[in-house]
Amino acid sequence: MEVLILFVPLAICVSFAFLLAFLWASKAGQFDDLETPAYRILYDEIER
Amino acid sequence: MQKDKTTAPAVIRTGPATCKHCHDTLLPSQEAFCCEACKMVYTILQDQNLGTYYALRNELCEDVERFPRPQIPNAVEDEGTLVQGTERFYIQGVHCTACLWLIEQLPVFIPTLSSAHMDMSSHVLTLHFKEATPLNAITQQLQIWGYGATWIAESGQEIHLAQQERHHMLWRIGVAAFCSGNLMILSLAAYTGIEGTLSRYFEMLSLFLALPVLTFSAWPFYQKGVLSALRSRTFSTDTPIALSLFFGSLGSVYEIFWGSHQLYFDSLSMLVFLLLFSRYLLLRTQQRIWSQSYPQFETRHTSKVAKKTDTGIEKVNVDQLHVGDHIRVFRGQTFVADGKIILGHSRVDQALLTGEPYPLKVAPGDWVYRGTQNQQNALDIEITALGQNTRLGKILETARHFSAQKSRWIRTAETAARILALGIVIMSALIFFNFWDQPTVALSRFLALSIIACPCGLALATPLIFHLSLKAALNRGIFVRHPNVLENLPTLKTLVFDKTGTLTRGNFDVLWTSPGFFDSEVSKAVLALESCSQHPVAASLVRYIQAQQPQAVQDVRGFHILPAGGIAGEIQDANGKFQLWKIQPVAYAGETNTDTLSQTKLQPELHLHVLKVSVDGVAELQAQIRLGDALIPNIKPVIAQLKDTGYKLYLLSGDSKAACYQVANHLGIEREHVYYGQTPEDKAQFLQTHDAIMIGDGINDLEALSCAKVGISVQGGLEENVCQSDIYLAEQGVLQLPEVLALAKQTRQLLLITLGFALLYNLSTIMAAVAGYITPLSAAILMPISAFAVIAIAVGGHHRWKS
Repeated sequence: MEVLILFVPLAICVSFAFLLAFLWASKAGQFDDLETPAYRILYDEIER
Repeated sequence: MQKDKTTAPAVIRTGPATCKHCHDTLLPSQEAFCCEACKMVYTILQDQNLGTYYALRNELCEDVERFPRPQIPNAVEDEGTLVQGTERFYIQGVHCTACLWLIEQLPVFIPTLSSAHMDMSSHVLTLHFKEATPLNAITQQLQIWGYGATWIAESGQEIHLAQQERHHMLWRIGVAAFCSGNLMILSLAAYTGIEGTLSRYFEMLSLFLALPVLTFSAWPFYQKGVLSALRSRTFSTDTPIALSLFFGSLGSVYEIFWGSHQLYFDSLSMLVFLLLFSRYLLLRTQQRIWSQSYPQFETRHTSKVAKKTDTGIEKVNVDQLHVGDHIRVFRGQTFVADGKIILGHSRVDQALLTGEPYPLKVAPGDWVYRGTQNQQNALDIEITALGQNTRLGKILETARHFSAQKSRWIRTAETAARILALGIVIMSALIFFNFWDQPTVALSRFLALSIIACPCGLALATPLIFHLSLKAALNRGIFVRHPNVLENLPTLKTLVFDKTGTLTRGNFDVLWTSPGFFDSEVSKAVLALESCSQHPVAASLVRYIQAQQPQAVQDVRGFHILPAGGIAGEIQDANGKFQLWKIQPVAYAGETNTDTLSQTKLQPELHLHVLKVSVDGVAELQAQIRLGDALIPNIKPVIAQLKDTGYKLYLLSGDSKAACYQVANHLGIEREHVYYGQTPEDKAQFLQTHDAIMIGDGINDLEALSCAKVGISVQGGLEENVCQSDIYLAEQGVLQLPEVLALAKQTRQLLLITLGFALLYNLSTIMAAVAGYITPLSAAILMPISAFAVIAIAVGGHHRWKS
């Protein structure tokens, strides 16, 4: 069981990386407009 | 750019031929387009290689006709205003991928633009400029395409701040989610009976994970619940939450180091996450409404005006004007100040102030007011009042005063929070009184009490229900400025209607023409004559004839205005002979003539003008035309339904007695509830003394709408309305009234049910805590159950109502 002393903080560190990814994404404005990309995907095939 | 014609699927349309642009049914005489405007838009798009628009629209927009055409505001000729950097516009009339695609092609048309980005959820278009561009170049381009564009005159800093607020909230939510998830796993070990050094180690890890949640994420609760509550000496739902979080975290820290290791970190942080998330949802919905509600008055304020100086005419900003200055106001421009005309004759549209649909003739010596529009010729005016001192300024000031008062309405949630706080205080006192000789027991029970008493259901229910209701309203084109309004709307049982523009269309329309009007050459002659006149009646007649039977306009020889009213002119007939045609008004009393109306099976509407058409030398009349302000179609069953539901109906109007009684009779409003000849001040007076819901057309009823307990506006520009009234019915006006009332009733019911449940739960758990039954494990089970029960009631209730 003593191995938990090492593994639990390690697991928390891994999930911390995901938290950082979320913080970056929200700062970059990824959650600002949740509707328009759904429309835009439809004309991506035509051009751009 | 890839050519799109091959990718566009062939659209198979059966039935009559339709216009290539707008899909209106074509007349046999027309080939591909229903009107010149559609042809022009089509040509412009094809010229710029933007035919993709049609491919996208035909493929993806299910039903173009389903969407109402937007009410496009009149273009204001303020070519002085330049915009640069980043600017935002509110766009009306966008509904599908094709619209989105087209609008984002704006830089193709306006080379000074570097990029265009449209947000479909808030309908806000963000433009980045390479260099300064005239404002009207953008609005006009969008208007050609059929979209209404309003410049959001707001500084870049404000946009940035709102964005930052959202981002910070997301950060708090992210941190709370991360920490509470891990905390729950860690505390599972404690609940399953872990002991020894490993348990101590997990406790320290829990403390480490709980700190960011209870400080950084929970900061808004401390700020609102304690700091602002102390400052304003009021009590909010956040106060018990803040206290619970504060005592809970302090108590748990004490338990780690000196106590019996009873930790509540997992329950507390999960609670913070749920509360923050429900509030974020509400904030998003509200920002969606607010982003569409910036006052256009401010936009006009920044435009340039032509000031007369000794040397000539000079363009200056409005804020550089002084009382006594002389300014020139051109056709189509809005007056920026109150003043007296010193030169020129024109017509002024005063609908904003008086609600009078008919433009007023003005001459030197007459008064004009800020916010009204010059419709015909340039006028020189001497300024007598500016800004706040103008009539409009005073009305807006009153409106602001009253809306500030309304935000202090009693909230059901606050009442519940007060009851709960009282319960906590009494029970805490009881604990310490009972166990005064056993401080450790007293402390641990007080800790359990302060955590389990946290009104999570209470605090979760309100934002969640409001979010769902506001969103449901928004999807139906109903803008609710503040969710509190929905909560309090069902307590009011009196409806006060304005007439012009609310129950009636508020326009001058052709209501009736004598039989055979379109068969003979009469309609051609009327069209030709009226096209020469600048009178508003003429404009609506021309519009009517062109809509019914589009045709080329004939030439008129010797057009003149008759001294007794009316117009005359010579028109060539089929044989090439000139005949003198006359169109004259007939004296008409609105109420008396109902016999012809029943024959034509029309609703008894208001006939403000009756015109007779005659040919010189021919005895009998060629035709008769009636114009007036028609009732809104299908309004009668709506009003009847409201009356049956038990609402008391009133009619307040500035119009004449006859006109008001006619509408009231038709709709079944009692005569003693009809108040005619009311000035805006009278209306405001009436609403201050009655607890009522006012339904008005938003522009001229601003004062009355803001004095009423709830003001609902139905027409006019979006910007003014969302700012000054509580609810704005954007799509179908007064016909949506039953829908709003039902939504409000539903919201209030759900609120009462969930709050009742939450209160019952909290009070019973408080009792359990006093008796010593609450442990960290039971708190960790009970608190999420209550939270999810509340969510289930709110979401389920809304779902049931929708279906």
